Amino acid sequence: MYLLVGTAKGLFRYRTDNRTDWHALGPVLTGDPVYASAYNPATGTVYAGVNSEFYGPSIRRSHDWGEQWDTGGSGLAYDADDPERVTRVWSIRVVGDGLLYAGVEASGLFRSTDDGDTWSEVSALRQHPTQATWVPGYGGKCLHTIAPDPFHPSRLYIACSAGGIYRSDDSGGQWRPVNEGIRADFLPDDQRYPESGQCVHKFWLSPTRDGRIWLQNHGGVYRSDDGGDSWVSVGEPLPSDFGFPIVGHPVDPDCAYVLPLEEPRWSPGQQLAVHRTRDGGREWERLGDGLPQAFTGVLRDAFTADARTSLGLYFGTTSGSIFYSTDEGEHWHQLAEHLPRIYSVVAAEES
Amino acid sequence: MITVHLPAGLADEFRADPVLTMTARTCAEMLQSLDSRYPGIASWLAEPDGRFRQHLSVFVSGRRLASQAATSTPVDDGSEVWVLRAISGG
Repeated sequence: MYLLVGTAKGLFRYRTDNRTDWHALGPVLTGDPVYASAYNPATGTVYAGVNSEFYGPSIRRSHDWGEQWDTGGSGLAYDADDPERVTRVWSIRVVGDGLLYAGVEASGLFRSTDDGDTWSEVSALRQHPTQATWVPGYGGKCLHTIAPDPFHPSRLYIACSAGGIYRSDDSGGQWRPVNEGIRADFLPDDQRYPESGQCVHKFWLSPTRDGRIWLQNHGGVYRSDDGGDSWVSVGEPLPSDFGFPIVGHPVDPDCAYVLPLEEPRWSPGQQLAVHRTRDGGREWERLGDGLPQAFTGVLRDAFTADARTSLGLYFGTTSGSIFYSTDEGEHWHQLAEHLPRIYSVVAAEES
Repeated sequence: MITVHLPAGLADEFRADPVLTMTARTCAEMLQSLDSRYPGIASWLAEPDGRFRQHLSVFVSGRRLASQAATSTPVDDGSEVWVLRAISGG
């Protein structure tokens, strides 16, 4: 297994056979921010969203775990007369059989049907009338999460910040916001439950229960059991319902993990800790064994899981440390420290 | 003919010669010529709206173009064009 760690200064890679002994392969794509990476086990391709300050964004590919990279496909841009520009890649989602999606800043969705040789915008999303409610957060105006629904082949979800979560039931031809019941703390009191414009930080679609979604909002943790048609607030028992990532269990749909943050976006009490629910969000337990005091945060794509029995969990901090657990979060270990600011962590299993 | 100097890192990425000669009357024609040799390189240098990327410095015959200059900028025959990474980053 490989851990692909996107940072402000390139992609760091770690290899392991047993999840205990880790071998650092060294950074690649050095100097450029890597916000997202992905792996396609069917083709052995690693994808990296490289956001060069000089040369713009690209989705580059490697077939040897990052030793060599191409310069990316074509078409990852809005039209010349578009008032917005594609400035960063925030998300890459491998579907299979050549199909990929990419989420970009300024918030938009791109599709490739040829493994990333060419890209074209899924334009109906930005043409939705609620697009006018999308605004940039501190990190930028970004489309950061993409999830094809394994129970409904034509169903696709995306989320953007700020903007909210949207669903298409026809593979991207038409979209509708599915934010009903999700709070927008940053709007006036009488406008806090709008149709769109929420600052959804991350969502996670269950592969084992139809319609189950976990969602970490900019204030609020939510669960949906009906594909986003309605949401239940489940963050109240947490020490803070603010955070960026949320990770669901790949088998147990009632289990999810969050990393609560308080102002100024450190873990409560400056004690780094993951919180887990195993009953659909009614109760949460703090999992901090092995995690240090730290004046740091964890960004939305910097927390992930593998798919092994006795789930492995991995997260990277804004101060450049990586921590992992191989027992479903009970105990944590440090894998690396003193890296650049960590944007994304991906666990990639060879087929 | 004009002579074009590419940033070393960019030339490495595209396995390009860092110094090239070509026929071009404008920066846009220069980018077209570069892209025909190294597909995709033009999009690394200019935006779809026909302007150079913000954090590049482009010199034509010793004169620095304005930031995000239009690629329609003329290039006289015999010119030397330098594409450089601007002071940027942290």
